[in-house]
Amino acid sequence: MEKIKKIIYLIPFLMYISFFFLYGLYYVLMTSLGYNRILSKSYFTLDYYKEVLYSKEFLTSLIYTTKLNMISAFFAFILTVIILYLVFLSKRKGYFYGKSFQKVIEAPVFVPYLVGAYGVLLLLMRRGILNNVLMQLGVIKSVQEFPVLTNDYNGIGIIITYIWKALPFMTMMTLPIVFRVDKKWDALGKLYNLSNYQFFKKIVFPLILPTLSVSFFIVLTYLFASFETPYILGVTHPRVLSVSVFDMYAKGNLDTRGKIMVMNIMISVISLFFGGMISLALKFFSRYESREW
Amino acid sequence: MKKIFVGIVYFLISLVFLLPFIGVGLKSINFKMWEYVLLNEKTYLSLLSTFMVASIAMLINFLIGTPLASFMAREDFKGKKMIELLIILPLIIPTMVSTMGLQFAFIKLGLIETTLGVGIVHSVTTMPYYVQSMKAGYMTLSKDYINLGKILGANPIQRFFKITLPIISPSFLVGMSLVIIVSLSQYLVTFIIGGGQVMTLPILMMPYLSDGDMRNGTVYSIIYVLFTYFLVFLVGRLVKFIYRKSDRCR
Repeated sequence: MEKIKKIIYLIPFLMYISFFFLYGLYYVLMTSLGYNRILSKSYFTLDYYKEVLYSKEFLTSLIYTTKLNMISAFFAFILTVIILYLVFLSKRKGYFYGKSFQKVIEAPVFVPYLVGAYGVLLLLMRRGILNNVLMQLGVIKSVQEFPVLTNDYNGIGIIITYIWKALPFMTMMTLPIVFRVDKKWDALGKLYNLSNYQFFKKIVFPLILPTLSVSFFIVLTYLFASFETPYILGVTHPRVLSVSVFDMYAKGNLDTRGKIMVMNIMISVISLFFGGMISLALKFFSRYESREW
Repeated sequence: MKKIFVGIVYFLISLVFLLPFIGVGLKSINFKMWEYVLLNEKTYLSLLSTFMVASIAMLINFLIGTPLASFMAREDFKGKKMIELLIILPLIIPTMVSTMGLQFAFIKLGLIETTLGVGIVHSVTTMPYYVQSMKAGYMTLSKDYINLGKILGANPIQRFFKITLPIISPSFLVGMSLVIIVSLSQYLVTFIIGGGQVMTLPILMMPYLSDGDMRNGTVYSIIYVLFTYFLVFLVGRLVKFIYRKSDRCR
């Protein structure tokens, strides 16, 4: 009786998630394998997979997506460490209280990607704000001298938006740890006569590395399926995976359904891979954590 | 001297973070644009449908996520790891994928291009956030309080609103705020299920933004951010209201 009572708590969730999430994934998988076709008879086939995996467009998209994500996450990682060091330093030396600075850095977390990308677009586009300011100051003489930073081939605008959003997230995750470490190990640092830089490098950094690397993979997972930013700031070729899937989907051609679903499966598989990395990183670092603290 | 130098460094870093805001803010200072947007009927309709979608997502999360979170925090059972994986799966696998798969089923169910349909897919996207934060709240809740409620003869619903919710209200607040923030920032799944018929704010704004429109886009962006904050504020007020009411009862 008690057992049944317990199951009642779980059943609504299990039903809901199977209906509105797992069924969707199942449908995607079956369509990618050739079932559920509307136009012709459905039978098992790997043609869609072959078609997608051999197509140059898909590979270009995949490489482009991965490149953008990796660069953004990597830069965000390095910049987070620098910001943490600055906050740490200002607290140590008592330059000024870091709270307002912290608030400023965390501000972009609550801004949707849509608005963030738009802000970057307004700022950096060829007739945008930065361009105007530079013209007024006389640094550049004509619009043509201003580099193309949005809707560009290398995706610089996209990378900037990603970093702008990822950096505050990473900082928010790790900043409490920095303060805690500082409080706890301060005496030890004094005992060994460590300079601020050495203290940060030898004590603070190793202790924030676990959280930082986990948030690095969280960012990678999230950005992999991010849509709004590349949609606003991207170019028609090469395109990010999610944008090209959406584009094929929005055209509404039933022939391409199978290919779309294959691309969806690829996105899911890669996301799962990043998810696995997160749990591995958590496991790997949790072994050390109990020892360090 | 050094202090000034450090101050300048901090100022520059802060500036980099705030620049996109400043750009949007500066460009929106134009009375005519505000007039156009505020007198437009579409703006209010989209605010209403955004609110409706977020409310449906919150309600579903509340009804399904709350018992789940309480159960996961208190009980230990076989297969718990599996359920935990299932909870965070919509975070890892993008809901864009599952939603594309759901589209056909939604057509058959008549949920396509309806506010309810969009609310359902938003609830799937936001559930991991809600359940995780509620779970953290339930972890801190001692079972004794609930047992005391049982002894005093309160039914489960009374126990939840008069004992549990006031104690874990911070986690509840975080969970609901996350649901609002995430639900309001969804574009793709809204478009797939809503088909452009369910005009939430992001759907209404997207054409302006992707064109780099310097006029209406900025005004809508500001409304968008303010509306998000407003909803979060509203939920906070509501939780405090429930809390105070139960305070009086005690």
